[in-house]
Amino acid sequence: MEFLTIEHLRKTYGKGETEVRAINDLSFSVPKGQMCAIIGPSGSGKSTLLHILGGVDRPTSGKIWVDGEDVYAKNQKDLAVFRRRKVGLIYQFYNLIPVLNAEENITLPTVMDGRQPDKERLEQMLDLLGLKKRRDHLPSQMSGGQQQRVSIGRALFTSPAVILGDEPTGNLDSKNTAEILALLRESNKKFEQTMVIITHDDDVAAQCDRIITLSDGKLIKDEMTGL
Amino acid sequence: MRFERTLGMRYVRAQKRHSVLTVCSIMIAVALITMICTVYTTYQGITRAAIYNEAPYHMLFEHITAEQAAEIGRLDEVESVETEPNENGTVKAMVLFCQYLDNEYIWAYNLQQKMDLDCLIKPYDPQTFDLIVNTKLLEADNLCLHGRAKLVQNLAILLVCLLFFVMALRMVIDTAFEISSKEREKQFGILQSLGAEPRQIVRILSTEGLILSVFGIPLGLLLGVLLSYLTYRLVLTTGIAQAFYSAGDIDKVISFHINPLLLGLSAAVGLVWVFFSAYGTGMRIIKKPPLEAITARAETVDKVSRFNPLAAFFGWKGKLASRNAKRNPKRFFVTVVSLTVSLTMFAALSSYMGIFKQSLLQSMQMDETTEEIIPYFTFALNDGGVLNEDNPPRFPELIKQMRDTGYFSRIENSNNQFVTITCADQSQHENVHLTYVNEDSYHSLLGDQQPFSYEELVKRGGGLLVNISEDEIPADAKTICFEEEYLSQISEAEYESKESDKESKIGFLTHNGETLYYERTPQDYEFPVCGRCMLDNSEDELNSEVSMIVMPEERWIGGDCYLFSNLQRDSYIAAFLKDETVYEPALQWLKAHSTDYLFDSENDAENPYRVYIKMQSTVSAINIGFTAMMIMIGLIAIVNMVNIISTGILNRKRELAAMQCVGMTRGQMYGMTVIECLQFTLWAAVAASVLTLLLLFLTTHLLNIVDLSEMKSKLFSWTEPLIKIWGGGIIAFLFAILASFLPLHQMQKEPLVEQIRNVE
Repeated sequence: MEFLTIEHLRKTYGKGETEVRAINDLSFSVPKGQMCAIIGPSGSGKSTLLHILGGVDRPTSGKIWVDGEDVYAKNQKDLAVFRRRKVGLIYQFYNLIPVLNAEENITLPTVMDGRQPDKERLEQMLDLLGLKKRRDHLPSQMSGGQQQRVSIGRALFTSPAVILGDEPTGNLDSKNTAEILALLRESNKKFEQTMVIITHDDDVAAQCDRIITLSDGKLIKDEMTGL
Repeated sequence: MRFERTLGMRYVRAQKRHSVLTVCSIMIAVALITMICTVYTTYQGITRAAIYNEAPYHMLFEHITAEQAAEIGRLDEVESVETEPNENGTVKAMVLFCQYLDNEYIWAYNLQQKMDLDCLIKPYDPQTFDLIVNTKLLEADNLCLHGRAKLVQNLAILLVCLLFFVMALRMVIDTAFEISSKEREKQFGILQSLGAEPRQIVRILSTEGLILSVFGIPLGLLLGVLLSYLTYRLVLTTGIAQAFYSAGDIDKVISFHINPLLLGLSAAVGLVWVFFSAYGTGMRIIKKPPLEAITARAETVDKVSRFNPLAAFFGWKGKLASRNAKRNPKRFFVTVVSLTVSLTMFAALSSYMGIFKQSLLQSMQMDETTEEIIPYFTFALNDGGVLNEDNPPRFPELIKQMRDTGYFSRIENSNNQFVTITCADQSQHENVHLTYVNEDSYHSLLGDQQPFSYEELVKRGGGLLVNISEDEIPADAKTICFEEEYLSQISEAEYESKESDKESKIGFLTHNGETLYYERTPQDYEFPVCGRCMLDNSEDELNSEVSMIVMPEERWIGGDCYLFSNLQRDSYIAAFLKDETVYEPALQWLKAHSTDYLFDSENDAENPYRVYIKMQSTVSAINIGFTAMMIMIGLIAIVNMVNIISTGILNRKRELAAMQCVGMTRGQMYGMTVIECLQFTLWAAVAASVLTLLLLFLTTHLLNIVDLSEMKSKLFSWTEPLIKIWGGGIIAFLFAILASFLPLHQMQKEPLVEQIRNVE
């Protein structure tokens, strides 16, 4: 069953001679529970695609369906609600809120949604992320790996339908990369979450179910890894 | 240097919005300093002109020869000598100096030695003394030692006043630079990573500062002068010049002054602050590692406060807002303090001004119970005519005429003198105030503590004992005035016959062109006692402490005036105008009927209305000056707050975008910033309330210690300053919201993805 569908997606920047086509008539779909890697050279449109999938950037044309919902048919407020309920975003540079500790950063989307965080789930999440001892620490008091775990925790905590990772391991050493990937994989299996991960790292891509290669905003290769 | 200059200039051109903001900040800062300096210069100039107008010389030689005057004029230190001929062939020489004299008297002594001016060494005699030194003008022109000392003292006061503003204005410029440089941190990081030395980065910013100063400082000077001139014109509209000077003098005395030296000082302060701000911003930037600058990571936070009262009210938004505001405690503190100081000064000074105004009006005995101030005339009665028994006192007729004009709401008349009285048991009481009053005076004197009506006082024939206890004068006592010397009129022949007798006490006075002769003779007089009343001292402390015998006016007219015409008495009329609009016709009427009484409309002592006008004009002028100062203080606080809040928002651009990426709606983001703004103003308003109440409490306590009874009766209202503080707080809050919404709105124009990448 297709969970995430992209139809004739286009994204252009500038006009006339300076027009740049970041995404050029891209169409594909991702079934529920699939962990999909998107690779490609710089400027191939990976990050643009990810931001459009996450409801952060608007496409020039085309449609995106997530769990049967037309993402860009939503107004601004509904799009924000969509981001906090249906999407979990993981950035290369974490983008944590510096004034909130690990626990508060993780529960932020839930709290913003006007709900009380489920304490049991929080404990499970902290346990899964290995952050129990760091729950009261501010981002500045944590290592890069720990900050990325918090970032992953924030993305996973609301049990979103889609997890989007923009080079989530790009800023980490090999040990931390392995740990984070294992964590994502575990979450993918355990909660049957759909994941789209942008990476430059072939090893990271190889651990996903599927690898989509982009070039100049177009899909040039789509292969299953057999995992 | 060329590379830094080129980059500096290009940044100025490329970032037009920020450049304009920085120029505006420099302009406001320089304008406010210029304004203070120009107001000071104008005040000094008007003071100097007023002194010069009264005596247009530094030294006046009353009687010297024309040759001596010319010789004085040739001295290096003398600017000009103006002469006027005297009747005896000498001249009066008015000397103005152009050089510092050190000691003017030593200079005069040396001149006397040099020119053999005998006139200068004569013993002091005000009638014939020949040298007048106008020390006030010498001081005003800083030509004597005392003048220079005073100049230093005045400059010190000016500098202390400026200090607060100068420090606050430094922040205005500083934050403007920070805002403009904040968005370019990444570029500076790139420059550093490419090999730019830290000092080169500092130079780029300093160059920018200098370029922006070229526009900001002259514009600031112009704006400052313009604002000062507008304030000056506004002050003049209060009529203060007309109240203090005649029409001819106003043109000579009242004028707007600009001191180029102080303008230079304003420009220099502005330039130094711009340099320090640019340099400081540069130093802050180079302390950041290039990588951190390039990745544009938000300011790291090492500690957050667990105490979050706002979270209780506003939930997670309150918690975030509270922590955000305290990310940079120094900035939070400075903003809250500057706002607190502004609100406190506004509220406390308003209260002090209110008290000052009330005291002025009270000293004028104006009616404060209503908004309408009722002025009055008071004048002494020229009742020399009472010596003439064929010419009874005419003031009842005058008062009737005055009442008939319809200009006056009440006309009080009283004839007062201190007498020594004795009771039937021969016990003496000295200095009892014997006062004959009319009905209006009776009501004014006793208010609602009258034991009976004025009609009853007339019926009983007077003798109401006020503040005299039964121990002093028993109820059934007869009071007798004794051993007073009273005047009785005698004929010219009697006067001449007694003139040779040294023991006789005779004299004469002239009234209406007629010479009246009198003789002083001791005479006893028996007072009736018709009642007693003790005045409550809470009503009128002055009257409650005086022992009085109150008699009706009818008794005075009926004959007592002949007994007590001892020339020592104080007879006056106080005529209260119905309202201010009838002042002129009433004045004209009084002038036209002034043959029977002494009335000098130009004499402040006898025309409280003139004093009232002066005071009212002074209070209005002070109010305008005070308002201008409040606007300046408020403007500094608000500009600082606006800059700091804007900088705070811009600094968190990426972070705010990240929050939106994880689901924060725009409404939630705006809501959070509103709470952040609320914190600044809430803390400031609470602190200002406490501080103001403390100040007012201490002032009240101080007034109680020094026992200023008049002030004590109407001390500060405790609610009024609080209303002002919270009103001011709401205005500041609205400005803060505006300051945060504008950059947020600007940021929202950029796609979220660009905000999170912090793309420029």
